[in-house]
Amino acid sequence: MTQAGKQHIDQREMTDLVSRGLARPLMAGYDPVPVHYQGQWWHIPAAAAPDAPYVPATAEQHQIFDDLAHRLALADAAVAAERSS
Amino acid sequence: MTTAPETPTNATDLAERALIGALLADPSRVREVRDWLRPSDINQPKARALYHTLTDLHRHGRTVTIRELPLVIAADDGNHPTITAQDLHAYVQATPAASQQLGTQHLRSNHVIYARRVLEAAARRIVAIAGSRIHEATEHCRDNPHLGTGDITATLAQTQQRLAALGQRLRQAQGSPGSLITAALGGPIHDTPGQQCAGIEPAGSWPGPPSGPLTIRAVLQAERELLASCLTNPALHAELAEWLTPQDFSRPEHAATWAAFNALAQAGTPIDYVTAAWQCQRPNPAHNSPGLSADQLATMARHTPGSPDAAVATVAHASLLRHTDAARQHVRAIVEDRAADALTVVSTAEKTYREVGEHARRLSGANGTTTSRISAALNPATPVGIQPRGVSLPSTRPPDESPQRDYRRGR
Repeated sequence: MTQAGKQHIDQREMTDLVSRGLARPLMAGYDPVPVHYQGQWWHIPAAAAPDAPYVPATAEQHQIFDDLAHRLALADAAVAAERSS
Repeated sequence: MTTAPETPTNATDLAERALIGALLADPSRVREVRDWLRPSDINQPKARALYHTLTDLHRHGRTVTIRELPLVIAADDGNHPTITAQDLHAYVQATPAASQQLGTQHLRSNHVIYARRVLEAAARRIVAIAGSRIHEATEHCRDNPHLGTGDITATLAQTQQRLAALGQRLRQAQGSPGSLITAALGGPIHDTPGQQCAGIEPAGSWPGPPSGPLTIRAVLQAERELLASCLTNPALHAELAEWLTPQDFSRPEHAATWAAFNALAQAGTPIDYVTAAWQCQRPNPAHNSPGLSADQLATMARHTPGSPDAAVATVAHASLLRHTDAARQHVRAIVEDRAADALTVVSTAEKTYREVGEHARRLSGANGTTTSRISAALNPATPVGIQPRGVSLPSTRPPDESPQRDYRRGR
């Protein structure tokens, strides 16, 4: 859940959370990108200002990001298995 | 040559085509990707239709020959584009050689890696469509050089003299890597006295006329030859990776492509034109270029390069010459800068010369690379297709030591 009802997280703060391993980006190598933090997805809306903060994703976006994260994890595992074979 | 079913325009297109080609070559490979890659993840309509059909057939345990596939797709309920036998052939052709490992008959497909790339591209599209911002991160890595001090007048004069002499030696050293390195380290030039190239301008700004071996055209051709050789034979890249750096290439796109090869190798990802195109597409501000385009890499991979030994020598030679010219110009500029104090001038000159020396030592194998590895690159009798030239590497010595020493073999 959000941090005591926190409704936005600055980009710099999110970068710090990711670098400290406290938040998990949808895909490595991307910034900005939807980020999973404290049980929910945070993102920067496409239409927001360049320095806009991360805000909680909608329920619909939540499902989309969950599905992508799951499939990317499977893909990464397959690549890792391929490399170790 | 067979016409591509859908003209590739970027790395994702290449990855999709390579994936479908690999799956057509062996449909059982579908089982390794179908759990996480959906047909809707594929952007190109024909590739999507083929993947949809292949996954469907696999799910139902059906086996059809590649000849039957167009009919199976046409009979499907979906609104699929028409797939011809020529399309199928082109997809198979679009897949890089299954094995890039010399000396083994084991064929290894990279379809899982291609599929992962396709999924990543799809994820970017899906995230954007969902209304979220997504951009690839840029890399930042620059070192902070430090300056040294020394005797002002003597050091400056000595440095300028050495740089001028080094540039002259490098211009005269044509042909073999041995004479190149000897020149860089201060030894005499001996193997091609007749190839004086007085008409050649400093590297990086050479005018058109190919009056000597190191014309712009010759260097660019050598760089492309080297990149193409590594694309079709990654074992060669493994030999050269610790020796050549991106800065050894004269063009930003070539440097960025070499950096992409290095990044792939470091990540344990096989190097082929699909993975290279994908890597080149990633932001790389260090080279001010995205590298060669997906089309260029695909075309390059279809070209069978000859023996890369001459290309290796030319790239190394041109790199040394370019660095030396740049260093001399840099020293001249700082000397003429009235705002620069004496200490800055001298320390800059010293640093500049030291860097050229390090560059030469690296290319000679003394700076982080082993002699045997460099020998494998420059000496011909290696299993990577380099032809013998009968050149031995000189001993490695900093250029500021015994500049008149003859580094030729046995002396």
